[in-house]
Amino acid sequence: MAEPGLAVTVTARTPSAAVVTDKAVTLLAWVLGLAAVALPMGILAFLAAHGARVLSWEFLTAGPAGFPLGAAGGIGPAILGTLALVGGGLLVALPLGIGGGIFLNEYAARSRWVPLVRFTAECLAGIPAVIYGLFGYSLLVVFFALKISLLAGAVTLGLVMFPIILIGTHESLLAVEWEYREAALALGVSRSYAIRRILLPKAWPGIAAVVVLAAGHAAGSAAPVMVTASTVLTRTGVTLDAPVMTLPTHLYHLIAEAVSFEHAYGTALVLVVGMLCGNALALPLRRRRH
Amino acid sequence: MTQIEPALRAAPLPVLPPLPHAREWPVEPLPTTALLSIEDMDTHYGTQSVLQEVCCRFLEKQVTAIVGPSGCGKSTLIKALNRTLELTPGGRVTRGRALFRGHDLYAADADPAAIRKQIGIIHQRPIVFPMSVQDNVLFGVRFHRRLTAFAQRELARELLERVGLWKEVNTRLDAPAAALSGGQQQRLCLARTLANAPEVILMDEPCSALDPTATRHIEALIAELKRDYTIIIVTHNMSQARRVSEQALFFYQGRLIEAGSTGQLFEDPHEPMTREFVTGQIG
Amino acid sequence: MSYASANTFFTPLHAAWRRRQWGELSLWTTTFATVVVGASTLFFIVGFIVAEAAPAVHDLSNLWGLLVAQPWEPFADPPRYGILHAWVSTLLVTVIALALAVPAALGVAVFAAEIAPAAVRNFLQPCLELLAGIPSVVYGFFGYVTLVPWFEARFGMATGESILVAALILAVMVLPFVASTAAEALRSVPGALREAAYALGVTRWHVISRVVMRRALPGIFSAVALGLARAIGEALAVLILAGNSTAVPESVLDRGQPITALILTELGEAGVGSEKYHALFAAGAMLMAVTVLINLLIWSLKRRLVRQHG
Repeated sequence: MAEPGLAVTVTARTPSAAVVTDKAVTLLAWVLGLAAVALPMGILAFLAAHGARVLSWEFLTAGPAGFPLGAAGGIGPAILGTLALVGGGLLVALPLGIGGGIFLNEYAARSRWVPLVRFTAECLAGIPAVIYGLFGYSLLVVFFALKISLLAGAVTLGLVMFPIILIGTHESLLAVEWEYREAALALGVSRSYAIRRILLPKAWPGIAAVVVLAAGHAAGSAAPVMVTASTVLTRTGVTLDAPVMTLPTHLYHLIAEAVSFEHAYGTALVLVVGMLCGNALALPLRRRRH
Repeated sequence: MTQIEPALRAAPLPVLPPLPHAREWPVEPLPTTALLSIEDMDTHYGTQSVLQEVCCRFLEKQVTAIVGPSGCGKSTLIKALNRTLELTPGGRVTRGRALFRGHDLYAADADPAAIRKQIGIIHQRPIVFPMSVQDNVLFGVRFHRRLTAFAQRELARELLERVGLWKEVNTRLDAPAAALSGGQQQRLCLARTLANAPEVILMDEPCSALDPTATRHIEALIAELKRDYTIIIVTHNMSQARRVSEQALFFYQGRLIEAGSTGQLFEDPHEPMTREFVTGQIG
Repeated sequence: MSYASANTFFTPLHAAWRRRQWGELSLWTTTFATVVVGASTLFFIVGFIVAEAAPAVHDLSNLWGLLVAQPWEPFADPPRYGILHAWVSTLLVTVIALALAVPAALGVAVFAAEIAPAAVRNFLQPCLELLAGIPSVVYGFFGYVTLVPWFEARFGMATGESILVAALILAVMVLPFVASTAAEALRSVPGALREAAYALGVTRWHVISRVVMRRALPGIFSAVALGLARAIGEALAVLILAGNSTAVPESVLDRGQPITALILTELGEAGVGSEKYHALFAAGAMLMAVTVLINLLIWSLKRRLVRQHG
């Protein structure tokens, strides 16, 4: 995109006011752009500076100890709890999301129901996480009497993740050129064979990227699990019908009860590093698509 | 070679009545036993009409060329023959019939998948699947038949030899097919289609994306394959049509203008429009 | 004679059944089931929340009391449940956050789409994704250890938690979403339009402001709407930073309690089926209604964009 300079002709010149505005705006834009880069780096550096000294193998594996609870020891059970919740949630979200995306694009492709279902999914994706918490509480914890438990939290998280995965799968399948479908079906194979052998392998980097991002987002969200699954401390291991500790709720507990700021920095750093790893994983998957 | 849809094989070849709109052509009488025929067909893309009132025949074990300027509906016609027109968004046959050995391809109980197995197609731009060379060749076969791994490898070798690719790819059967050159990919697509043991092979401008050497390869293959298969080839290249085909159909703006043997169509066309096309004045 | 134009999405099912293709049949039915279950969760969620909220609003005067007249006093005698302080807090926090974030985000978007060289742009993109990916509770923590002490020192407050602090952090959280959506809208303006404008010899900013942004306006609106939806729905950061006071905030330095924070704080102590329980669901229903409306707006803006420019 060429940037025009002053229009140098014998009789005309770009009005100087416009040039000044242009330069001022360019400067402002650069400042904002650099701020947008500096902000996340700054937050990251800040957390690392204060939290790195807490990190150790013991911190990552041991349970909370000390008085008040959490001032010493580690966050091991919280990490396990988060992994269990996200894993369980994926068991719910993957079939709903990927299956839904496949049906929408392969079997119902030109039906007028597709925009409606897409709109439903986008609505669901936009509903605040705390509403999912309310719903999970009233339906799973109370109505189905699952109590505050890993199961209730996992299903709630699954519901949070599935719209994102459905939209991502649908988009990835849409991006596969229809000539592949034509060439495959022209050999007389069934749709399911073509989906299994050609379309899913072609679309899977995009699908994997969106699954990783959805899982990362769910791992960090405290609102849905706060009211359905989490507790301050578990002595038992991770089981389906017991509450679990999770990283984000543990961090909240450390702050709210003013237990230990050092450990809070450590927990926050673990959360952010985990999310960074997830993003780093998703990036090459998205690049491969293009 | 293999299993073929029993219903389609069993019926005897019908002797069809003369074409409607037929005129008296003085030259050699055309044989009236046709493998495939189209009766009074209209097709549309969405609301736009592409083919109108098309009636034509394709003779068994002959190469028929479909020629005409670009945009006259040639590709649409052959896609209608193996029911891949409906796979294109908006494409549909709105009137008329397509008969294969006397059976209506568009009947309510016709199975498009079985039809596509019997009538194969290769496209202008070779579409290779994201898998190895061997897996590409065996893609359709693995769906339609149960063969042992050994039989599959043997079949793949046989087909690759048939299309003249074996010497070039036998050391990289497991390499991704996308690594092959354009001409090699097109021959691979041909091998993949042959694996289904079709009776008819449709070719939609198979050489237009290839260089001259690759084009010669494909044309040599056509000359060899016509002993065993009925071939219908769409081409905008008149000299190619004269080289490879025995029968020819000339289309213009969605209508069939003239049909006849290649020699007659190109040397001594009956219709003035055909004459203009052959002498290069239109298209 | 059946022509392909009679296809519905049940056609592959009938075909598979007729031809005894069990693999095809089972794939169709399982994926169809997932679509049905998935799409119906929206109605379940809406239905449940509205059902549990209904007892709190059984008549109009009750609704007025809930929304405006009554304070939130669960320990008074009789206990009163009004959510005025909550939605006023949400409104204040959201408006301030957007007022700060939207101009900055548009500036970043213009930078990313029009001004930055490719190398900087490729670095900016992951940075925005990083900002967007930091969990809400970490943002709350960050604000708690940086802004809150600073406010306490600077303004001599007893505690630095306030609407303003929450709004500042919320602005940072919302910025990457608005910026990347707006940047995408700007990028989708066809290059031919820009070239035609430059060909008339005007400055770059002139082209951007008069031509590009105007053309991308629906996309920019939907970016702002997206920011609005995220700001309203944000829970943990405002829970930590806004102060959790049940009094209606009167200035931005007051403490408040947005709807999301109210729900998270009080739900654990609300007996199932009690008046407080239903009042909390009513607050949630209000939140959900606003969010769905905003999503409807975004969706119709996108459709209009597609219809106008193909």
